[in-house]
Amino acid sequence: MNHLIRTELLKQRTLRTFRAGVVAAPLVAGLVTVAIFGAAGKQGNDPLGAESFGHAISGPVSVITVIALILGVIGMTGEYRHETITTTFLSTPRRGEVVLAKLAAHSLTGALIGVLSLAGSVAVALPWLTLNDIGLHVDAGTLRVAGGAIGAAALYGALGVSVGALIRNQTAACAAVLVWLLAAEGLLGDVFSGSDFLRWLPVAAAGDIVRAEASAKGLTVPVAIAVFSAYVAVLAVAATRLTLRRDVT
Amino acid sequence: MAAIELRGLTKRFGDITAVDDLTLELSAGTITGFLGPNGAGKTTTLRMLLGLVAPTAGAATFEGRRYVDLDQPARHVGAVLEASSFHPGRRAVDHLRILASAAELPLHRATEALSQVGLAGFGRRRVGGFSLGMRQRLGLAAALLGEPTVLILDEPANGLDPEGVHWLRAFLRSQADLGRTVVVSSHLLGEVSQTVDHVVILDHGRLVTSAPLTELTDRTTAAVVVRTPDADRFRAGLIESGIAATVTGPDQVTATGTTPEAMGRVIAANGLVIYEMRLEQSNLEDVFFALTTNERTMS
Repeated sequence: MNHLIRTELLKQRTLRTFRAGVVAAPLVAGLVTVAIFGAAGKQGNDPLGAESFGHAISGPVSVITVIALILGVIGMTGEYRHETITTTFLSTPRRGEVVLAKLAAHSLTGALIGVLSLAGSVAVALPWLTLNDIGLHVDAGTLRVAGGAIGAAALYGALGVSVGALIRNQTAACAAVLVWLLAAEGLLGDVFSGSDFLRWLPVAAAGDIVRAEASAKGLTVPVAIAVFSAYVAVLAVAATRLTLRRDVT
Repeated sequence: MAAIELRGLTKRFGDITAVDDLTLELSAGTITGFLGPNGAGKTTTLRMLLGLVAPTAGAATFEGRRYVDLDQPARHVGAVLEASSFHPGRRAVDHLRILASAAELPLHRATEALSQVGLAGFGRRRVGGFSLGMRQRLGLAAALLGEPTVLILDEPANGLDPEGVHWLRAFLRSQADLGRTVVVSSHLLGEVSQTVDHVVILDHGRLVTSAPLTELTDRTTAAVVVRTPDADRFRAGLIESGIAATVTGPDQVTATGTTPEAMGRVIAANGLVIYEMRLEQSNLEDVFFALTTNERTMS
């Protein structure tokens, strides 16, 4: 199994799309940190302070999780788009192992994106806050946010693989995840404003993973992790079953 | 035990029967041409053999084992099913390294396989910039990674220029000389007839015949064509000697079921002038059309 995970990571490393995605994560995080710190103390925003570093590392999470998600979708749908699925299944006819290796590899890539994003935030925040005599304040809440960002990016990577296996068309799969992520859950929130079920939806649960403290309306971090992991697991099982059954013509 | 065995292999897509109760055995160390017109069921059969398409009924095995049950299948079977199974943005050597890694083969096999197919200097190039012929070669390199005993190639001559076709023929023969079993599917009968030892003909998903090439071409009668200014008199002389003959041109007679020697005796006996005599050996195309036409008439 390990050789298949290494193979999937090699597939990613040998394509510019994946290298660009991984490089983009710390750049995006650095830019978001610049934006947050640049706006501090202006137009009603809180001035720079002990909590600023926490804001800096949670700020880019919504962007980096999208990167991990889209890379996961591309990693799976690209096999069908470029018909490399044929050679993949000829090398490894036990298809379930291929899907598991892809899930693992894209989780690792998601986690790497999360780590690099944190590094990007720190690279900007450390000199900026030091120059303002504040320094990096790292407490348990900050560590929870950091861990949550890495974990959420890892789970989003696996989610992308599952969606890609279910919707093989790359454009349709990317459109589906982006519509859900950016619009569908928000619309449900508007229509069913105040309903309890909203916090159990996938994007809401994933958002609650990256919190220093549980909000009154949201899930606690452990519950949020369990709920979002359950969504990923259900889709992964469906994706594996479909991949095992489907003819490669 | 047969190198490849199909037993009652059947595939239905809804109401359409793509492959219908196919049973045959292919022995080791031969080049087999898997022939049939487009839509005959060749590709579906090969995909079932390779575990990519699930049969509706029957089984396909390599030395008694299904492809999915082979330990390290790349060491037993190498296959090229289409010339487009590549990511255009990936370098050729990386494509092969990925397949070697998945098959638990040493990564240096990637550069060795590139050399085997004449692409040694192109490993660092992205596949998107490859010609169709180079892609066919890259596909063959992928199939050779595990140094398998069986090679399965679906339409490998598609898109190749004459030099590429010549190279492919020599390549296939060299593989058979190494003791490998080679299965080549094609709808280009002329290409295949110069390469294969054994022929399997499919039509409408059914087996029309499976036989050595020489046996098939011998089945149909060769013709002897003679050009002479006395075509009608020559034809009459042939018929008198019990040889079936027809006038096929203003100065041409075609006789079947005979030999040039027998024709020569009739020419001498009748004191005829001839300009040319040639033997027209029936080719695979004639055999194919004769067999598939029979099959359709009978069904």
